[in-house]
Amino acid sequence: MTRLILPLLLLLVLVTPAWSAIEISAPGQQQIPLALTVLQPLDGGRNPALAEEFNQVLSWDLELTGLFSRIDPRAFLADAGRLGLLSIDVDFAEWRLLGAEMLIKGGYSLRGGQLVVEARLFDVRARRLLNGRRYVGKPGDVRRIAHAFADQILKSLTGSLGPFSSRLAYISDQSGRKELYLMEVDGHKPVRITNHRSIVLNPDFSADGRRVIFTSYRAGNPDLYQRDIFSGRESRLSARRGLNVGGRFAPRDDRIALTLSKDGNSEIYLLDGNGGISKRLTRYWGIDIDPTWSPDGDRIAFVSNRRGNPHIFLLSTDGGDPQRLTLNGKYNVTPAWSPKGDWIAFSRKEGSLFDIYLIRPDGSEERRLTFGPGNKEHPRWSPDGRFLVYSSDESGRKAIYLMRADGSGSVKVSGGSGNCNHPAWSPRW
Amino acid sequence: MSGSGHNNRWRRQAGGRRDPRLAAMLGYSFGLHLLLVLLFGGWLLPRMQHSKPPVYVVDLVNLPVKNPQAGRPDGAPKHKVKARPKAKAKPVARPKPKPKPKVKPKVKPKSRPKAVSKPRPKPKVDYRKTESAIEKLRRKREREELKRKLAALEAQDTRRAPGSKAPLGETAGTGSEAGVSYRTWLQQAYKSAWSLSKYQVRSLDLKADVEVVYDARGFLRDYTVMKSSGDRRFDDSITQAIRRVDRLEPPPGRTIREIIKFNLKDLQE
Repeated sequence: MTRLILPLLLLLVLVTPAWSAIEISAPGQQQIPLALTVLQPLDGGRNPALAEEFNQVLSWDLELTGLFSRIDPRAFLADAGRLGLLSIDVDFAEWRLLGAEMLIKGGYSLRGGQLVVEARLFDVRARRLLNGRRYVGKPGDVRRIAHAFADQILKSLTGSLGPFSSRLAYISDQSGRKELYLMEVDGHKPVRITNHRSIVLNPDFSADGRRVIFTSYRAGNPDLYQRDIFSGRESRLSARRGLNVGGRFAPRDDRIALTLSKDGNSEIYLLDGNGGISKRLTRYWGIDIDPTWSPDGDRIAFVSNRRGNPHIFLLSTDGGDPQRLTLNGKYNVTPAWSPKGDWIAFSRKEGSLFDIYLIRPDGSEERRLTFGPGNKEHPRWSPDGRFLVYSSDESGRKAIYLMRADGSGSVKVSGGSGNCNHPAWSPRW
Repeated sequence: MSGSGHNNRWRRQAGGRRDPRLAAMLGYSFGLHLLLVLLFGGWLLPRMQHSKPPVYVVDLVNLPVKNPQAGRPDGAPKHKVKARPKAKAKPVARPKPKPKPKVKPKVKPKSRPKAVSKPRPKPKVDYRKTESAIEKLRRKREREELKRKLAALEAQDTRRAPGSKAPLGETAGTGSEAGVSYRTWLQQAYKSAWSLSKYQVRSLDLKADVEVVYDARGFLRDYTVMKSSGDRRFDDSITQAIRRVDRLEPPPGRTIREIIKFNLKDLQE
């Protein structure tokens, strides 16, 4: 026994200095210092407005990510005014002096109605090119080009593309009726795509992003419609008696989960691509609504009042009994399953206000994302799972907002008059 | 006219004479009302001196602060430290009345040793004087003993805020500038100065150990990377952080030699 005690004591003495070390388990600043220069003309023909617009769009996108801290352009030195598309042409020492770790440079040319943009992302510390793209389009495409390069920047740094080349669908009553609109992720270029002169609700995009389904009261009944975004062709997919609402495309095929009340009670059904019923998923006297697919398409989360109050339940698309997901709160609605499958966002009514929450599909780690005045409802995920879009009336009127998946960086994106709600985020275009 | 007629009628009904108890009742009533007026007017009671409760300013963000007692009325520079042991010695008592009686004995001891020393050479002094002198001497020794104990307590610096286990100089708001824990301060300073995105490194399992040395005036004298992470960007970021924390304030007054372990544990999901 004494033989053991002595080595143990010796070990303790040796280990003690290690305990006394100070541990820092994460950096206090986790943003990457970024220098974003203005595009320089490739061939002498200057168009400062175009360069400025590119800069603004890219800047907004990168700001939303929360990954970067911008170096003040007023501090830029001589290299900011040089084209420098190759790493050997960039004065990295100058940028390092300013504290930059990433550098965006680029050039443009506008000839005969054709716009060419060369954009580069450099790693200042490693003095190397991380990403370089050449975009060709029309002068009006400068915003799209900037969004596309923002997606590429995220891919270079994080390994997955950003969501900025996608679109947001939403319902707005700015024309006097609730119609379906599309806009860019930063809220620019809103376009009305329905003219039902009725009530349009609950849009959702197909997996390829080319079609959108929604519910409309155009024929007096809440029917499900499908519209091809590019051709404008529209068809009525489900016009059964009662509700045809909350349609959601499956993540990998054309199946649609939705709520029908053709038999008097609202239940979740699966429709095939032509609108025919392929399966009835729920069979209960309570209300079952708001289905959302898991990314693998094997499960569905939906809202049911089968335990008294509206709560979120999970159900396999093969059948079986629903399992209750949310145990807290008294009013949990509008679930949205993240593209990575790791979270389900939903809105909960506490008191008289709705706020957005996250919960793991196994019911753990429930967390509240939004605070403050106003209702925050209808959360939907960006295609990369980094951001959430939702509607809120915190500024009086209902408007569309974006925020990061951790609840930070919320920003209002919809403008104009009227109320905007029921957002949906398209896949990448 | 009608009033005096009513009174007369009342007297007649009452038997033609006043009830003698009525005057006594009125007298009592007047006396009680007067007493109430005097009481609530504050003439009978001694003036209450409301001592303002101390205001504690506590840093709710869990950061060590440079001068945690800055907002504390009794948190004072070091020369006031002498006053605190009194409060500690008699924790039950309210602050106002008790320090005064203590002040007097402070003055007396200077003269008393003389008084004690004088009688001793004179053998003819009566016993009562001798006893009182011995008693005074005993008290003086007790007082000195108490002072020594309090000084020892002061030196230990283990005071804590009521109901708090926070060490001196931390977020519970107690302690003086000299009581700030340099280890906690250093930890926070390095964390704030360390800038690195998880997207800039290849792995989140990286770790590096650095030994830093600060002199008594708080200047960074030396640092040595004892164990490198193997990732140049990670190592660069921590050396940059160390260079940013090139001075400790207030000066520690002694050489500080610490091993800082940098890792990305909190970024791992």
